[in-house]
Amino acid sequence: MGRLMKKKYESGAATAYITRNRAINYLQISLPDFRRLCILKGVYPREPKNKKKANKGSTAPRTFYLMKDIQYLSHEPIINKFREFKVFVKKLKKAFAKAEHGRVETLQENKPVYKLDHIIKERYPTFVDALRDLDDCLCLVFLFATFPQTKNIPGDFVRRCRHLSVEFMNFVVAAKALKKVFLSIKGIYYQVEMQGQVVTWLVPYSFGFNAKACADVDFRVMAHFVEFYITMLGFVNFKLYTSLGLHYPPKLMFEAKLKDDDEKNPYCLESEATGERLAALSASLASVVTQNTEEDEVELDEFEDSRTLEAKQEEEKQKAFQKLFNGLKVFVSREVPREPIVFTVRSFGGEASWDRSVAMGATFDESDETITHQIMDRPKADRQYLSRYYIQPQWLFDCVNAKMLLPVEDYFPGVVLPPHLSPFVEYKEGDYVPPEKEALSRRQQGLDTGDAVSEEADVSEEEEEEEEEGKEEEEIDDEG
Amino acid sequence: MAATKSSESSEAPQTSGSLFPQPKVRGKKKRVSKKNKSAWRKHSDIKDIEDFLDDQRLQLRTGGLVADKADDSLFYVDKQNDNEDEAPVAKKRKKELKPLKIDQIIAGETTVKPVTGHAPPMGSGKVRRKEMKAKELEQKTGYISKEKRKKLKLNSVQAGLKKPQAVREYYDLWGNDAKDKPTEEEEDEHYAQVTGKTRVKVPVRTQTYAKNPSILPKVEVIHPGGSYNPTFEDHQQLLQQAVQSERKKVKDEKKLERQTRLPPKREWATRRDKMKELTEGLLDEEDEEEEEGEELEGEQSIPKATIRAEDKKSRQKRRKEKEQREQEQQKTADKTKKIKEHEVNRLKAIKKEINALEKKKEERQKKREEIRTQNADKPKRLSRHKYEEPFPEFKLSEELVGTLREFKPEGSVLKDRFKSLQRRNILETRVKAKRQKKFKKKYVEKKQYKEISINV
Repeated sequence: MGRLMKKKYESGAATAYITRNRAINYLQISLPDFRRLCILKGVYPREPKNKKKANKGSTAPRTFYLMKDIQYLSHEPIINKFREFKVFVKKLKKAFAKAEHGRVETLQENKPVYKLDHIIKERYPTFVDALRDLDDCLCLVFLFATFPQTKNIPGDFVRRCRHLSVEFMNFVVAAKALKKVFLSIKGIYYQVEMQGQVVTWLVPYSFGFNAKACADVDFRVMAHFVEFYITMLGFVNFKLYTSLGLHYPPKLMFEAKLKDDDEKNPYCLESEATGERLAALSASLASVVTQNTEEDEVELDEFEDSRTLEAKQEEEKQKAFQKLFNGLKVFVSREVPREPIVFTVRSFGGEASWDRSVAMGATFDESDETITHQIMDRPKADRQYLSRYYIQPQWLFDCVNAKMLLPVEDYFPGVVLPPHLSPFVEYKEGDYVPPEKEALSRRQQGLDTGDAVSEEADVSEEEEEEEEEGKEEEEIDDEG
Repeated sequence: MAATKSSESSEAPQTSGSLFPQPKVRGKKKRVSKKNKSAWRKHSDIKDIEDFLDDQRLQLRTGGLVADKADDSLFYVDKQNDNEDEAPVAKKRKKELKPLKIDQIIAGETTVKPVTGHAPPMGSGKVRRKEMKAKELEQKTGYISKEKRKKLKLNSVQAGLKKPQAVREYYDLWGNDAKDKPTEEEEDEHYAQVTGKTRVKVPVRTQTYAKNPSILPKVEVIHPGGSYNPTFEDHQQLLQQAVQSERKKVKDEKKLERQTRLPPKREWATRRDKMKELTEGLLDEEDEEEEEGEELEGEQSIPKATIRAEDKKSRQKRRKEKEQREQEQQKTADKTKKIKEHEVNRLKAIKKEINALEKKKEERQKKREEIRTQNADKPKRLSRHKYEEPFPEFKLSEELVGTLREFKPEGSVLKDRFKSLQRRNILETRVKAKRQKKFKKKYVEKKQYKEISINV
């Protein structure tokens, strides 16, 4: 009697991992359902250290999952909903085939639906966790908001994505959270900072849907991701809005007045008007509690410490950066992509408007004398006002990335623009730094030859003058 | 004062029987026999009746029977002077009031009721009982029957039977309502009380991998040369990258082509080679066989050793052999024991050996760790197909326009996201499954084509 021989593949990698097909059998769901479940729950395939051991001696290429992950999936209540849905589809098909219209109706009324709330809470136990994972979410939601409704993309998805992306942009405007903008050949990269978390995302330029460019993309899989992210962004938006003391669903300030304006100049159906006004980004959001316009500044106890001093300076810099476009009144010409411009201007405290015939939500006309800058992208303007600068759109984005107002002459219409530098590059010592970047950093430190600084001063003086003029005019009006 | 007929009747055809009876020409009556049904049908004149019925149907279709209508609806008093020009304002109003032609066409005038399917006669027992029951139920519980809902055009939500489903209600998911929630122990107890079973323990998953299956950033920002208006140096760098990946692609293609190419003609098999291969082992077979045969005979000639009685081992011999074996075993055991005892003196050497072994191990570990960190940003092999890096997006120097208005974007964001998910080990790489044909196509030459041949 010898000792019992230890059998092969009964412990270790062979039991720790499970192949995809075996996992499907284990969970008793179809492959598409399994895929969806994995995406919703955040279970990803793994690569075992020793594939041969994990595959019980076979070297055939397989997709492996951790057995523990699959066991964990098997306790998910949504699996039951998947099964219910399968039964529902079967019943519906049968009723259709038998032309039992009443039954079809009742079946469709009782269509099984599932909620993802608990999964989001499970995957992101705290709000900060959710913010950390927002990059992917924003990319896909902003992307799907631009899609047409097709066989693979339900119209409901597109509408909800658009809705949520507009809400998020409105939040960024209200919180002044925008940090960086980069116009790349792929799309526009934005970076925001919320509650200490830096989030970057990519928004495509508004061009038509190019089905050819994304031919080998699995739309079904992407739709599953979007399904999850829609729910996630909804909750995140809610939390973000409430953290700022804003209404959710968002409400605009002076809504009644805006409504009045729209009735005079109807642009869309009344039912769509609220959404369109919100998407215009030109009006501010209403808060739950009426706030003082002046910010309450809490006076901290002063400690003579270099660290606190530095922190204070940093904070002041941050605040100044958030007010970069304060007092700017920007008019956007019709040939310029409106949304990125308005989003950027409004995120830094400026005002923006456009021609009333272009879109809803215009707040002032081109003839307004208080306009400080007009963004245009054609070589020459038909009619020029002397009271404003005519500049190309890149100026705004370069200003944001430089964290200061740059001289306007480099950006006049018809002028060859300075290069648009990427704000995402961090130069280390010894790296090659392009001369444009060097010039910019010198300018930022105030070491430049002076012309830029004086320009800036001029600009701000002029703005002040213009503002004063506007006030005077108002007074005159009152007297009249 | 002139009385004018209303428009609807004026459009009626002139052949109608009742309104404009046509004078009948009286001729000589022809006598025919009507002894059977077919003869009756053939010779009886029912044109006037049919005309009358046609007219009546037409009237029903176009606004109802004229005879049933009140005089006011058929005639009106024309007070308008035809010669006087209408005031422009009034004309305009009239235009506004007048329904559009298209609306007139669509508007149904028919008074003929649509043909309905067979319905049980009203007031029959079955229907009455059903209605009574539904009424009773409505009074008692407020349930509105399906038939009634259909009649009133209400759905179950409007009828108050079902709560309207909230459209994506969002709430404070991360709010601190933990106080109200029962603890896990309490929940367990409650479950046990209600069901009489212990709760199944849900496995807890460590979330570390789930959060970061790769060290790559979630959104990789494009190279600064990918700006829509880049600096010259950045753009050249990006182009260099593109050139390198293109070069690699071409190299791979060339390699594949080289490997699958036919060998040069001089290396092809000649006829002689083929013949040689076909007759391999046939021509000089006989000689070999002969040799083999000889060998075999030689082997067979050796007689097998027979076992004799005197060769058998005696008991004594066996015992002695055994003793010897045991002695030898004892000897080797003693020797190893002695060596072991003396190893105390070898401590230094042993220590050295162990150190060397450990060092080797450490080095190996270090090397492995290095490889792991090197490959950390590379996608893992998660399925049969290898991850293929997408070609980097770039613009050629002449394609750079410098203004946002004339600029055309490059690549697709969706593809970028999809590839990013694959690169970060979230999705396994897959190839779209091609639908396989169930049956092989079979080609058959038809007889008529077979007969035609060009050579003949």
